[in-house]
Amino acid sequence: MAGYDEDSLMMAVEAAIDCLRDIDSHTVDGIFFATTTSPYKEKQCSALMALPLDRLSAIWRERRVLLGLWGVKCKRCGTPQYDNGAMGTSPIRVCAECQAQDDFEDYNFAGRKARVFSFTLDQLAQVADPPASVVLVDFEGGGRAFFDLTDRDPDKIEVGTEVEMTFRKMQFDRGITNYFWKARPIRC
Amino acid sequence: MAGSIKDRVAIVGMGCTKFGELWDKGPGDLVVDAVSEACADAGIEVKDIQAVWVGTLFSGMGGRSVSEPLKLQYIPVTRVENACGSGHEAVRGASYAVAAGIHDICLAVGFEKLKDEGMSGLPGMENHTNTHYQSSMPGVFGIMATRYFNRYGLSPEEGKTMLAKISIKSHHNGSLNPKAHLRRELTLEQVLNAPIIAWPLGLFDCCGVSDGAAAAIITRADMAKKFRPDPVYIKALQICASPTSGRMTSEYDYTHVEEAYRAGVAAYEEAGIKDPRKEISMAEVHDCFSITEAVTMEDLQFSPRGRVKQDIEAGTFHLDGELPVQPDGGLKCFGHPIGASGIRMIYELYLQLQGRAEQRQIKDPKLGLAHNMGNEPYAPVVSVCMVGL
Ligand SMILES: [Zn+2]
Repeated sequence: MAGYDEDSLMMAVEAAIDCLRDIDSHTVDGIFFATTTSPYKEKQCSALMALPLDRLSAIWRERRVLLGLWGVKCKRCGTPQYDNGAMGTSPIRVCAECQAQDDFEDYNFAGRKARVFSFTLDQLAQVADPPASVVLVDFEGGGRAFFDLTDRDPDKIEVGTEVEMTFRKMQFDRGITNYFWKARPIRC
Repeated sequence: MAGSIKDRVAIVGMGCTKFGELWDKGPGDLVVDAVSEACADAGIEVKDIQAVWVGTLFSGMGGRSVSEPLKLQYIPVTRVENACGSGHEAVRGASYAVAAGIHDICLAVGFEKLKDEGMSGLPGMENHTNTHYQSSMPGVFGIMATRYFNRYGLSPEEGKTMLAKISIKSHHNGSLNPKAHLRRELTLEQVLNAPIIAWPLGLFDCCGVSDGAAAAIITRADMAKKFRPDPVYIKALQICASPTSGRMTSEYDYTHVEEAYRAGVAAYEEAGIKDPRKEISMAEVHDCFSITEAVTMEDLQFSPRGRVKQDIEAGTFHLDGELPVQPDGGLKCFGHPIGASGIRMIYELYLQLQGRAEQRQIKDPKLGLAHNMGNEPYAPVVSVCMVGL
């Protein structure tokens, strides 16, 4: 059953990740997507909130991380890091740990497990499925970031809850759907 | 540190509007009211001011935000913005200009007109293309409370009771202050039963949203007694901006604010303070949320790490306690018109040092500390300003 933040595109992404677990995705030549429902009705190709339409140059600059969960790993100190923040650079250019500049390799956080370091149930944040269950997670192997927690029972979130990453719908505004990654508790 | 501001400049006049839902005042009115009171207090006229630094985040652009309402006659006016530290930043600019010997009489003023926005909280703080998660400011600090409770083994009830006592104390002080926005006493039951805003923070764990302005007249220390017999001297002005690494690496514990600790250490060095808890008479800190005040007591070394609960329970921070905190009621009762808050805090310390705080008067204070923190716990700009006799 699809949740409020899932459609056939989400299910296809999930299935494809499952299928490609032991395969280098760069060796895949083509993707065929068959569905009887039509996520493209929601203009998913735009894949962006309406707001950034005023800022096409920013979208172009950050095209890599708009839908991917790409972070970096510092070549000097080895710290993986992901930034979904406000005033930094995208991609990260200065290491948060050792301050080395422009010395990183790409690092994909999708598919990595993480643990809830802390959380809140935010009644003030405007979300489709309140309370906004915002988690700060520490990834296995390093890296920390904030995410929405989905597929969750708000009463059962704890410090230490194990989560994995899942591709979901975020906001729908002025005819355009925005997609991104959320955390969800690991299903047994 | 190459130099120090300690005892080089003095505050000889201050003004502060009532804070609240000031529907009948525009931003310019707030500036005029605060500056008029400050000039009258210093015994000068507006035309005696030689240069101005103004702090505001949302409510004005450029120096005109002050020169226009006051019709200042062609003098330099500089608008500064440093998040919630904008008021202290204005004081810093004015103080440095006087200490540098460029001007003799400067005005620092901070103001913010939030209620015209017609919404709760602060107007559109969204930045850049971050659409990855939605959380409010109470949410960001709720995460800190969750972590603090977890780290120090407090049950939600124990943790929330600890935080409630902070708000009850501040509301008591605010009830004694005619310039505060919220002036009612609170009971423990009221606080604990209030609606949750962002777990575990409830309504009374959050500060209000208000309009307000505050102003200070700053002069050379050697001139200060020409204006008044009881000037208040600046002892330290420190700013610390965050690299914002705590959101990205696992080293940050989310139970303290590193920038507050470091701004405190720098201010203590500048002011020559060895034992902050003993030497500081009172503090006005950035209690945007109750958890922020709790953690700040530890960051400023008033309480040992993880031990603020004992001090809260012992009444250490009450008006009649060992180290009174928020004697005027704090952000909790004044709300947080961003640019105004830092100078509003100094206004209370100034009145206290001069023995003019009426029902709130602390016995014989010598040294006060004001602290502001802008943005999230892992990403703040923190300012610390110390003033004394
Ligand atoms: Zn590094």
